[in-house]
Amino acid sequence: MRLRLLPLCAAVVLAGCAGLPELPPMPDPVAIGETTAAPTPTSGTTTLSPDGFRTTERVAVRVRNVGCGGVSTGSGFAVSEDVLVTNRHVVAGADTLQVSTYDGQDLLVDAAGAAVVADLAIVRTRSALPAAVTLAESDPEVGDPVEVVGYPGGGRLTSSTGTVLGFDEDPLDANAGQIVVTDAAAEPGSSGSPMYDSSGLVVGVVYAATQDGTWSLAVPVSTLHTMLDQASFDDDVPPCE
Amino acid sequence: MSERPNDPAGRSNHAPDHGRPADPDQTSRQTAALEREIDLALRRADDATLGRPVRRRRPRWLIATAVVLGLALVAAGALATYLWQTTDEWMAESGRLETVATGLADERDELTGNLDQAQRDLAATEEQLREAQDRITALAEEKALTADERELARQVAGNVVSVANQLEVCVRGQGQLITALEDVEAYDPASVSEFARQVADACNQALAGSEEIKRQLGIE
Repeated sequence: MRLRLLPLCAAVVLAGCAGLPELPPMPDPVAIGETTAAPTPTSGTTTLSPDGFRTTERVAVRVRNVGCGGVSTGSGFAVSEDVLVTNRHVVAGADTLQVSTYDGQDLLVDAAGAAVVADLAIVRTRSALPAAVTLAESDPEVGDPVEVVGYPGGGRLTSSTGTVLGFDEDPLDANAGQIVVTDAAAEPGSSGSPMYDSSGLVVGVVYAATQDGTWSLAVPVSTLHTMLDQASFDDDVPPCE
Repeated sequence: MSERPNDPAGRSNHAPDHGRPADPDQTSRQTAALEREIDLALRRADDATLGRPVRRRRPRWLIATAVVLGLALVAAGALATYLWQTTDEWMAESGRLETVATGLADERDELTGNLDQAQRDLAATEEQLREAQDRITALAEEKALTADERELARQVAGNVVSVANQLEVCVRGQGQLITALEDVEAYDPASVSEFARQVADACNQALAGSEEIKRQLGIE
């Protein structure tokens, strides 16, 4: 009887061992915790240049008008490698136009032309401009944040921010159509400054400010598009105002 | 000793006889059973005669219980062996993972230190960049303002030359006019009057130029 049980016991033991589960492999530990992805360069008009200046600053130029019995200054911005936009009254009556960049480089001016229906002018430079802006396709809307970058008072390059307050008729009658009113600060010398939206696209060109400088008036970008399509460097620069 | 039945006819002495013929197969099985019992009884009698212990048949439930207990014991042993083995493997795995975790912690500490240092370097570099940008902007402004003054001075110088020329015309004309007025009868009065008007225009232009220069220079 005992001999007969031995094979049975062996079979039970083997069957039991065969039925036991295999030891599952344990995964290797991994580092846990917060990880920060490396910043990736962004593209667009607000990217930094190797010298750390934003594109919105690099495109801004200072325009010096020598004529009309004196020297006056204004602002402008590059729309291509050799064309910049400013106000008509900035270049009016100029015997000589002199353009300098954000880093103090002087650029040779080749020709200038002014629009008839708006306080806008284009200036062609013989030297290459550092960078160029991208124009927005449409005008800004009320409440949109804006930034004005220019040379108020003929001083250093500065920027001011504000929001679009609305659209109105031009109190100076320098522009046909409506103009943009913002609460971004501006003062003499800011004329011709680009007005950027939050994406860094140009949505207007500052041409005037209220007496206390708290509000600025700008030509909307739709008018600028029209002007760029129609303006020519053969157009006469207006006389002294 | 009991009497051993030996019926040559093959019929059992216990089989009832009711006058019916007996079944041969059944009779044969009963006969075989009786023979086994008789054989067993004889063997026990022999054992008793010879002084050997009487062999008794074990109960079936006892055998079954022993078998079950045996199987349970074997299974428990196998399970214990398995658990022992898995415990050893898990302990080894735990030790390995602890080593890896310690290495990762050291690596993390080192990386954290490097990151802190890199962030400090970045902050210092950004500060230097801001200072450099401020310096560039200030120098650009200074250069622009200097150029403004240069152009203004150039314009003032041109105006000064113009005013000087106009003053020269004015002074010369006034001298000529004084000479003419000293001998006024020798000149046509209308011509003298026209000449005086031209001299006055020249002097007025010189005065206006002078005022413009004062304005450009900020002199009231």
